[in-house]
Order: sequence, then C-alpha cells, then structure tokens
Amino acid sequence: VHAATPQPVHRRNLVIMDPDWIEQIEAYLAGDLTEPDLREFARQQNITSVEEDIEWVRDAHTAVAMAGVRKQLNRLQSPSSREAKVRKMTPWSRIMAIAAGFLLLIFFYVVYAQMDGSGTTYQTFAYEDPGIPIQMSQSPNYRLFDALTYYSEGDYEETILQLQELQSDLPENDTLQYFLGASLLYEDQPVAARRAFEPILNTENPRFAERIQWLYVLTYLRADEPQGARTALQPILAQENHAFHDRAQALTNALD
Amino acid sequence: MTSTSYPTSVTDQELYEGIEREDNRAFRFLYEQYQERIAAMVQRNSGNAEDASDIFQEGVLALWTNIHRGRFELTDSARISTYLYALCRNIWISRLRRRKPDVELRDDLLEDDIPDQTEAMLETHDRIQTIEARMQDLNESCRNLLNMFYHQKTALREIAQQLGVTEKSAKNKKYRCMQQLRSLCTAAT
Repeated sequence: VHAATPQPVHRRNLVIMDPDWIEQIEAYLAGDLTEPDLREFARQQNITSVEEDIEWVRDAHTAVAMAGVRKQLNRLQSPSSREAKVRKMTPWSRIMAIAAGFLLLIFFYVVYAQMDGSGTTYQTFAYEDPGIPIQMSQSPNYRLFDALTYYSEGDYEETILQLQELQSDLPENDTLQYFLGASLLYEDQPVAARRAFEPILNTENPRFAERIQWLYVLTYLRADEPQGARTALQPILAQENHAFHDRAQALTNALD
Repeated sequence: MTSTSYPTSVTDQELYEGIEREDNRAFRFLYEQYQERIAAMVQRNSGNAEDASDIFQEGVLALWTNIHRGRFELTDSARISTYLYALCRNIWISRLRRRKPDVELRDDLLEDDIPDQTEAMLETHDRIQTIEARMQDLNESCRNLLNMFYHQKTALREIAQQLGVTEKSAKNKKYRCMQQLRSLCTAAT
C-alpha cells in the first residue's frame, strides 16, 4: 500500500525516500522491472526525482560493497607490512633477500620433487578464499560468526571444530557448509571437504556458487583423483563467463 | 597452506577480473607490484608513509569502484598500472591542496599525461565515498544488514534466519536502513 501523498517527503530539509520506491528502483536495477513500469510507479506517486533516486540507490549499493572491500584491504595490510612496503631496501639487504629467496626456492623444489605430480598441480591451481567480513558477533548466530573469524585468521583446524559443532543447529546453512568444506580442504582432508560441499553444489547464493565448484574440483586434485577432477570441471567449462573458467581450462590442459 | 599470490606474469585481464570479484590475491598483487612506486611519488611530494599508504588504498578502491560499476574499460592503451598511478596521483593532489592550499607541486606530479577516464573515475569514486562515509552514522545493526545483503550477497532467507526474524521483516528492515542512509546523505549536503 503506497501513500497517496506526493513523494519524496521533505521533512526538516531531509529527503525521505519511501521504502516502496526504493524497492521499485532495486527491482528495476536487478532487471525485474521495466523502465516504463518504474516511471509509471513514479508518476502515480508524484515522484519527480527519478534519475537522481536511481543513481543514488545504485551508488548506495556500491558504497556498501566498498565499505566491505575497504575492510578487506585493511586486513591485507597489517601495520608492520605497511612500514615494510614503504621502506626502501638497501642494495646489500636486497641481495641478501634475493639469496634467501633463491635458497627457499631450492628447498621447495627438493621437497616437491619428492611429492607426486598431483600435489604440484594442486598447488598451481589452489585457491584460498579469504572469508567474509565478520561483523555479526552480536547476532543470535554469533557462534557461526565466531567460527568464521577463526577462518579469516587462517585457523582452519579450529574453524572445523566450531562449524562441526554447529552443524546440527544449522543443518541447511550454506555459509556453514561452504566454509566447513573450504577449511577441510585447506587442512588436507579432501574427501571430507567434498562431502561438505556436495549438499550445496547447486546453491543459488552468488557469493559461493562459483567458488564451490572450483573448490570441489580441488578436492579431487588434492586426493590425487584426476578423473574425478575432470568430471567436476565440466560445469565450469560449460560456462564461459564463470569466474574460474580460464583456470578450469588451464587445469584441463595440465591434466591432459 | 595454499599459494596466496598471483604470479608476476599476471595479465591485465586476469587482474581486472580478480579485482572485480574482490579476490585477495589480486589486491595483494597490486600492493606488491605498485605500492612502492606510489609511496615514492607521495613521499617526494610532501607526504609521509601514512599518507602514502592511505592514498594507495584509496586508489585501489577507486579502481575497484569503477570496475565494479562497469565504468572502467580495459583496452590496449588503458593499463591497470597506468590508471592506478593516475588515480593515486590525482587523489594526492586533491588532498594536498585541501591540506595546504598554497603548496608548490613538483613537476612530476603535474605531468600532463592523465589518462582519459581518470577524471570520470574519480568523480564516481568521490560520490560513492561520500555515501560510504555516511554509513558510519547508521547503527551497527543496519550496517551489518546492508553489508550482508549488498556486499556478501547473502540470501534474504539466510539473513532472516541469522536475525531470527521473518523474511518480510528482514526485507522491511533493509529498506528502512536504506531510507535512513538517504536521509543522512541529504542532511550532510
């Protein structure tokens, strides 16, 4: 039910956007409402700032996402790494760093030479999901978000323990299943990871949908099951705009 | 642990796609490859290490904003490194002039080779940054809800479940938060 009074309402110099109007704009931006329909709604509500309001809603969506990306960048940059990045290295310390890097390379080469081929392939195509911004510690599901905090800190062992405890309380939670599967994979438990991913392989959650398919492929690589990896690659290869399509193609070539 | 860095031979297209999907490895690549150059530019021009770090982050966010909004087109002549440098340089000039209106800028900061899309990209970024700043005036519950819905793209069903309310209530609350944000933005102008 929409107010019959003209919109937007001006109150103490503030423009109050009607929630129904925001909903209509979002439906239009999502492609669920045509422009003529949106304009007809605006006409009925006496809304004259159509372009301005559309632009604002679009900007607001980006602003919310940008706040999330800013937090992501802040996490990437610890205070110590910030200083390290702007400090010029002396030529001598640069040489030492290169030498140390070279020795490390030799070390890893020797280690990997003793591993089977699939381990190397896994490392080449590995993908580490950084996790999601954790802001919900006050929510009713704070235990889930506590677990995801461990995940974002790279403590996968603790994440697994916490998420497994929560599974019976949240049996159909795709966030839980996804991060449980990812943690199991990073903890070198590929078969268990696959079991965690399987119930949500067809999730419609856009945040996870493509990543799950790729991590699912990696569970086969990690378990040295190239045939399974080839099969799991097919849904990714079938979608040219899939975020992991290029990597899937490269992996197919590597497996061949 | 898995590898967390892009190889140094990453293409601009791969980097573009990495930034678009907010892949930490793409962001790390930007920091590893370009931060030192930007820091040097800022520090040569009256800035300190903290300024350099802030400007670089703002430049990366401006780049992300425009990729996210489809406002930055990758072409043979539009390299990501060129644009990142131009964005950081312009952001620093703008901040420096606000801080010290009579500051004398060095020649390297006034090079006349600003790529075509830079001004429009900064304009978009500034507008969005203003809304982002107003978000800090929302209560935590609104910020969380908007973040889950518009950034994490969490399904409404899941958000409702996490909040312990019906989907309809979660949806109404989201629109009320948007309404509040619009009011805050309007009040600030």
